[in-house]
Amino acid sequence: MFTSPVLLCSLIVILFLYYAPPNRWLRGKWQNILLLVVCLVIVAVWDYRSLVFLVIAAVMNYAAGLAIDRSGTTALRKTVLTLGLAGNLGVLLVFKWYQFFLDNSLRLLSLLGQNVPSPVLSLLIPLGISFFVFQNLSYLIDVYRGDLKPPASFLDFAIYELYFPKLVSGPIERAPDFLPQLAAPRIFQITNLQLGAMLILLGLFKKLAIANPLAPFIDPLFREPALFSTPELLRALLFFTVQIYFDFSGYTDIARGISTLFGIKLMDNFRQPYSAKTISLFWGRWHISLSRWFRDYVFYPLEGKRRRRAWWPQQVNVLVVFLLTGAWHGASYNFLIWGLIHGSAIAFEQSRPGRWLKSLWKPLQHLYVMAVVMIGWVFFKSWGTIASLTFFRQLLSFSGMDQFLPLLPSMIIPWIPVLLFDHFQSRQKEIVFFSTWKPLPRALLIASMVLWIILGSGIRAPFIYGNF
Amino acid sequence: MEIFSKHHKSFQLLLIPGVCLAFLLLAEMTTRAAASEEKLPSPEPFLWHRREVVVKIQQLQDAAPQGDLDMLIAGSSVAYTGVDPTALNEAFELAAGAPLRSYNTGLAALSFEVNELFLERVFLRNVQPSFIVLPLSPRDFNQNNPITKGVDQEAMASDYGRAILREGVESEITSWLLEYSSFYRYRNMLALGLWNGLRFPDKLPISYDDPAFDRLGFVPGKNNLDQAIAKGYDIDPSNAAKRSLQNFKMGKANMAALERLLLVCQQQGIQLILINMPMTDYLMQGFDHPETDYQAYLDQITHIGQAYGLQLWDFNQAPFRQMFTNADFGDIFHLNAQGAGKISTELASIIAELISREKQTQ
Repeated sequence: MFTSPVLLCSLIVILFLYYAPPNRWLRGKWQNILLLVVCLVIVAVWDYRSLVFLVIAAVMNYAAGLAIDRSGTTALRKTVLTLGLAGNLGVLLVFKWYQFFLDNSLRLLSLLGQNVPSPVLSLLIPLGISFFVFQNLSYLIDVYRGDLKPPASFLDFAIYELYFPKLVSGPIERAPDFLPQLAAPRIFQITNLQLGAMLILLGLFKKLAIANPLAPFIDPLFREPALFSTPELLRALLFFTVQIYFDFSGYTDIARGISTLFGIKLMDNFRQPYSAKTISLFWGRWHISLSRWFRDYVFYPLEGKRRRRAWWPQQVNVLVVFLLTGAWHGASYNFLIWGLIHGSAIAFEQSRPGRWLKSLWKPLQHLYVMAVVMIGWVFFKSWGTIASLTFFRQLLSFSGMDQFLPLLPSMIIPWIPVLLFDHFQSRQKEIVFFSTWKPLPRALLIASMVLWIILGSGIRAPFIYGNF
Repeated sequence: MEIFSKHHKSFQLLLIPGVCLAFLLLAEMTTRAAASEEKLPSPEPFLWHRREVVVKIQQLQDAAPQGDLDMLIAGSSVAYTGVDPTALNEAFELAAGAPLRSYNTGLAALSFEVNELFLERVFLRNVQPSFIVLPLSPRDFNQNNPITKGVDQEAMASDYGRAILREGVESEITSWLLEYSSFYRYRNMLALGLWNGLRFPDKLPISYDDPAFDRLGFVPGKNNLDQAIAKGYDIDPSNAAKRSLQNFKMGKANMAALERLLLVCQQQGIQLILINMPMTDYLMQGFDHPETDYQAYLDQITHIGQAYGLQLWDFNQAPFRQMFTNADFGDIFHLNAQGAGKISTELASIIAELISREKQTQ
């Protein structure tokens, strides 16, 4: 998708057309029309069948938003909101959870001695369905709460819905942040061009130079963990920890870079998550748009007036939120366990014994975070609960330890870019850390990145979050 | 000079491409030097999606150094487990009293469309056979087969796949780079080697075991389906079989590829022998609608064959089907060595008869 040279080359032509009209008023209208056409074409190329669903869903959500806004009575507004939320969540349940419920029901019936044949219903999962639905939920809730007026033009709303840089893997952009940017014409600025290009380069580097070449050392081992030794599995886990970070943050960088070229700002999704000292802080830095979404639309409403009263009701809510976060990722027990691990760690951190963690030596705090995160990744990456348990059993069997020293250098190498990037980025307030560097060091860094991108460009792997 | 002042805008503008170019040249020279001194293993296994392609090209060149081979057997794993060139050659010599040299180019899990591209653009560039035997299976033609979809994508995304199997600008650029740039050609191996702690792999690090091809590209299946079932082999059609035949639809691209191959053979004077391979009853249950789906497949390949004056030799129908029991299959998809031997013997008689009929008409 985003790494396709055809798309990146087409952008040059599209951007020329986008900024071409000299008249300010004409440019505003033209830019929005062109943007929507581009979004429709790109989504159609990616998956034309999804386009039909996405357009229908966009029309229905726009109508629901208008109905909520214009309804005279609170009861009516609530009814429309409920219908809208149910419709969106229903779509998510049908497309993502139908097979899970069906398989489990049939398994249960089979255990009870009733063998029912499995009905054949292969559903096409629309592109970026989880991101799309959550965006719609927040839109309807914002309109209901009065935080947002529905846009007068369906054109603007359709762009918000189908905006291709964020459609497949986010960030889950909020309408109050996104829609106002479409109101005024976007002016061509050389700084946007430089920043956008640098973000795209950084994203391509993360994805093609680091995340993809690690895939061959990860996927077969998670598929059949029983066949591999402890050092090999440890390396696969360390590699996956780096891979998922660079894969997802690389995607976000490219999405933000492309959007910056169009003069539209998307929110940041990552802020050095592996530098966090607690799991609570980790979630303030990892997939920020999702964690904020759950905080604002699930956790705060659950807390209601009870906020900060007692430990256990709050932690129950934390667990609920993280179970839902797991469920958002997909229909499997593994994602639910992954969510529970993170929720339990946060609940522990908020407890009295958990507060002792803060008094620990800093490296130990980092070690604790990485241990929880990596245990979670085993469930996240494995093909099933049994495969996850096999992975742990094999990892703790300490088999083939003679391979440990030979594999040690390769376990460390992928962490070097993580540490370097996070170190430089944490010291910069700028969106891309090397944008403020002096010309020669910047040119040397960019050239090195280009070289590494070419080096890794032959090893293909889909974006991990493209499945959600 | 003013332009070389680091504050000059032109300097800043040229600096990045200039440094990039310098780095690329350095990388190219270093890779060439390392490759020429044989400090790097051959990049070949990484240029195709699977090592089996490299193995088959090498075997084919060894089998026919001058390109003079009588017969190619082409298709998917159904072909490379289903027709044994050694048995075929021997049976033909017995039947016709003349030697036959054949090789099995079957490649695993590709759709017919991509398999045909391999045959036309890779294997037929190495040899000029008089016959091509094409063992077919509905799984190769199902456009909703998720297994072939995945493997097709792998094949087309590989370096040689993009250079040889595709067309257009990207293909041209990839071909050029593969021919002239060592850095590009070795890049996959370098990338994997660097992440592997500077240890360069000589095999594709994917979880795919190379089938144990004999020197003529055949994989003799050792299992016996009856015995395998008795030992607990899973024949449930909701598993792998269902996945390759579910939502069965004859892909237009696959049919177009078959027509293209028929045309190529006609133009190059190659005689094509179409075979419908025998299927287990378990596999038949993998269709959503076993009778209509299978019939649609059979009708279309029969029809297209007839349009080019070719007979479809249907080994899934009487009188041939009766020759095969579960003991002739290794699993629910593939024949084992015993089953392949039976087909190869039958095939030898068919070819001998075709040749003799041809001689009579001449």
